[in-house]
Amino acid sequence: MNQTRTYTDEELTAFLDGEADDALATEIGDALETDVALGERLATLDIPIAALTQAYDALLNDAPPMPPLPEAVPEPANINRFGWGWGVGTFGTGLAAGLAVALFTGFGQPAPPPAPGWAAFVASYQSLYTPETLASVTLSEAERQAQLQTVSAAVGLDLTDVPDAEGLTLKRAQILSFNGKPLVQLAYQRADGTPVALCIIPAGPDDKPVSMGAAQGMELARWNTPGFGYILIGGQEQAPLQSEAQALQSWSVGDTI
Amino acid sequence: MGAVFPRLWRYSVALTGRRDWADDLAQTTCLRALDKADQFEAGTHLDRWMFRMAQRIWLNELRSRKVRTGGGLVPVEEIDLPDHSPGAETNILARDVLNRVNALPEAQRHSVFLVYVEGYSYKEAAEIMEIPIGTVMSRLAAARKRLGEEMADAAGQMS
Repeated sequence: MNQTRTYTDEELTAFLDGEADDALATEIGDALETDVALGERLATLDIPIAALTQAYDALLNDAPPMPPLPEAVPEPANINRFGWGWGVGTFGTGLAAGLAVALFTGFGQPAPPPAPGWAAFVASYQSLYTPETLASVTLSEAERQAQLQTVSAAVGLDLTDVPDAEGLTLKRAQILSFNGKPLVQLAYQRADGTPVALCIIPAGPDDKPVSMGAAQGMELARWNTPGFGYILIGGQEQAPLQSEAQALQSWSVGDTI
Repeated sequence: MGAVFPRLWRYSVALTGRRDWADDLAQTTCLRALDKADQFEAGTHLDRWMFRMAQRIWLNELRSRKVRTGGGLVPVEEIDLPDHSPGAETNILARDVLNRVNALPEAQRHSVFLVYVEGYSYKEAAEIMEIPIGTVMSRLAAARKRLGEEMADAAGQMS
């Protein structure tokens, strides 16, 4: 008895998913107490979601490492190491140059130096780095000096004696561009593999001490010397980044005074 | 972005139905995200933003190319699961459900994944797929009905 109205599959699905509004949920709940056929219909719509979730969770373990993106690993050979067979030789490298530039140019509004957004873009960029990104990169002393001389000339600041502070290892120094200004990226790696980047951009005349913050789930330290803005970013722990930042700030002050 | 990548890849498997195509789609999506980083609004959800991008790239670009080069149909293949864990019984069920979901019509499969696996609300899933909430609901209902019937049939044949 008490035949209730016929609910649509959509309504019953919403009920099962906890997405039915209160009125409908109450109505179906009440009807289930007397309407056997309704209970059977509901049973046919019931699927083993826990097993499905388990299956897909197992699939997470199979996710490949995040591919080194454009500028991070410029050589197709390195990309192939991760099994990305897809046209990287032509498309990947071509895009690499384009995107590396695109990321740091033409974004956001023109702003007085340093652009308020540069920290956000540095953070977005750094968030693409994983311990694997730089693991295979080793700089010889000659390469290190050559790269540092190039970026020094581009940004107008002598970086050739930048220290490997607090156990950081310099993996690459390169020049990028943000809103038409040169932006130096020194890619470091900690002993535990954590990627950390020191970024430098021409800025206003004011000195600013190290201040700590966070962006994109990473710790961030920024400071200014006359003419330049600095950001050190990477990892999830404040303490090591802060001591690295202090060491690099000391060096930067000595260098520019 | 690194933190989102495994889930992005998994969503790519759900979108394309194939692991190798998921590799391509996930990588393309990362490149596109890099390209469009200026459009990401800080404070919003990176995962949803990237999922929406993956969905667009798949439907608007990669899908037709894959289907063309793949011979005209989106093939449905069994997705092997990693075989690390014990508990054969539950693994058999999990594998069975996964392959049945993978064999669903694409639109249903996408909805099932976002709501039941990722746990998004109907509204959030609708925003990612850029369709009305009612459509999410009807796709889920159709998927539940088909899976329920299939599994009842399978159980009937075994007994």
